[in-house]
Amino acid sequence: MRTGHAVGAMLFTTLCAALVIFPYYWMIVSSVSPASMFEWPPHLWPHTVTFDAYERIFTQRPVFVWLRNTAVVASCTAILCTIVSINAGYALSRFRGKVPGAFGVFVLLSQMLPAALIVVPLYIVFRQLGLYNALVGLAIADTAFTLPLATWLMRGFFDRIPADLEQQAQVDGCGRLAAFYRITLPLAAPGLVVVTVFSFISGWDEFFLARTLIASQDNWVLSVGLTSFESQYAIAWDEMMASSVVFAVPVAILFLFVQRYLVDGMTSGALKG
Amino acid sequence: MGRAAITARSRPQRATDWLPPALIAPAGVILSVLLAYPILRGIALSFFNTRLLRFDQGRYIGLANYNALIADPNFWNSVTVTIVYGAAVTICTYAVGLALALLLNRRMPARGLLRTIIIMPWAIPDVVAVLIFVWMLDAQYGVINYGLVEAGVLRAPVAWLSDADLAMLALVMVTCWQQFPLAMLILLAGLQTIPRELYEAAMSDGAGHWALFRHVTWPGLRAVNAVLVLMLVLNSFRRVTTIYAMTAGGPARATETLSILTYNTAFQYQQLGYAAAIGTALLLILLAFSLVYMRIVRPGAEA
Repeated sequence: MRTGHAVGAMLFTTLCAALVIFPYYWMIVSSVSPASMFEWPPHLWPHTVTFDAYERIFTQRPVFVWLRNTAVVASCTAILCTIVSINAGYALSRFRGKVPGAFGVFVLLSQMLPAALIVVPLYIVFRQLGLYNALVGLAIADTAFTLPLATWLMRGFFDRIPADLEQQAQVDGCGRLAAFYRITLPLAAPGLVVVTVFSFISGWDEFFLARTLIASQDNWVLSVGLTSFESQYAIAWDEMMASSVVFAVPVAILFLFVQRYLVDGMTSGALKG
Repeated sequence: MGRAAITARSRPQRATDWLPPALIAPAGVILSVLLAYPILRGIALSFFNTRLLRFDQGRYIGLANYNALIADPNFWNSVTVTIVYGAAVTICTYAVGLALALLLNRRMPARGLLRTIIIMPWAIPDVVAVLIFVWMLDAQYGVINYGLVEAGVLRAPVAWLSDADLAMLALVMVTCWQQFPLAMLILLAGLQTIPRELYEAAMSDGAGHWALFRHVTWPGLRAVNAVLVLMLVLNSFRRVTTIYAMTAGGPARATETLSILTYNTAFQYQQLGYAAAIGTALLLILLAFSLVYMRIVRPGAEA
């Protein structure tokens, strides 16, 4: 009786999962079956499989350049965000008092600000500072938008490491900063990886800032380039879906490894205060 | 020496301690310069008539932007659109998230694998989610039209993104598809904090499925619900990428939320000052909503 229930639940959940994952399936199918794409009714599985669209996006479209730009922005975001959030997260985890307290509130509040209002003056600031249309400028902006959650995540990881170890090291004559970098930080290595991966992904996926702060096509990132695949007559859906697969699938798999920490990080700030 | 170290450690840290501010400084500078300062400058900008192409030549015009705002039918349209979109997305996302969380909270074979598959939509970049749905909703070759016609829901394929109501529906659909995994995971974490004994006690009192849900599960989710609903509403008010990439506010402003109106006013109509006024109104709405919400719900009361 009970196993019957469990199997029934599994079958129903499988049906839900199939429905949920269908857009992924359709993206991949559409990227490899260009010949049968513009037909009615659509074929739910491809009759012929061809990788033409993948070849075309790399030879006839500047996808490679956009991919490189995206990688540059995502890497810079990851490096900057990790270094900065390690220190801030450690301070939030280990110290009480006015400065850390006020900073903690500031971090929580900054997650609630409307991006649409921020980009208007940010555009002016970037024009004036010469950061407009520069990949480094975009990475700095991405860092600012990713930093609140990254700091909160890092703080959570440090909270789980007992302070006794670094206090012991301090008694043994180690400086406080040295105790942090040499004793605690290596223990927080898994957290460090999670935060690096998370900030890399948010830099990789980002569209809105890139759309606003980057002007020339040579400096576009893939998220912006993807939305430009419209020709005068028809949208090249097979190329669009092939580029989407290249853009989305590797990072989506990477994302699955860090997602459970994100849920903790997002809710702990609000639930535990 | 040992004694000195111990007394140094047992003494409370004084305000002159340089370490915490030094560790915080880089993050503080980045967040101040790139988030806090733009917000303040955005509020200041809302009192100027600055235009995009001459962004350094704005003139102070007092409350003129706000007077124009109150008389602007596009602004009030966006207020309505924001509320409709926010409510629809929050309700759909929550409902789907809760249903799947209850389902995945049961014991079943292959639960881990199914859970991983179900959260996949959360992993996809916003732009790609939009592109896939725009293709699936295509008026001529879209697979969604095909499915709905086959199922007898539609008589003929429809042009989703050129119809005002259908475009909103499509937008809610994409947003919900992408957001429900987060809601589901948060609710699943909440479900797992409800003690098993509560269910066993209620069951021994003869409670049925519905009574269990109403008297054990629902009260147990109270703290999680409070945070999750606030998060979903605020995120939908602030969302830009999904809406901008899918409809850019169209057709005929049917999906132009306040966030999108702010962006379009700045970068399409090139009125930075007026856009800043709209954005500031949005900021005030977010703050007012959060404050009223916290008064009513008090998320921290039980946590």
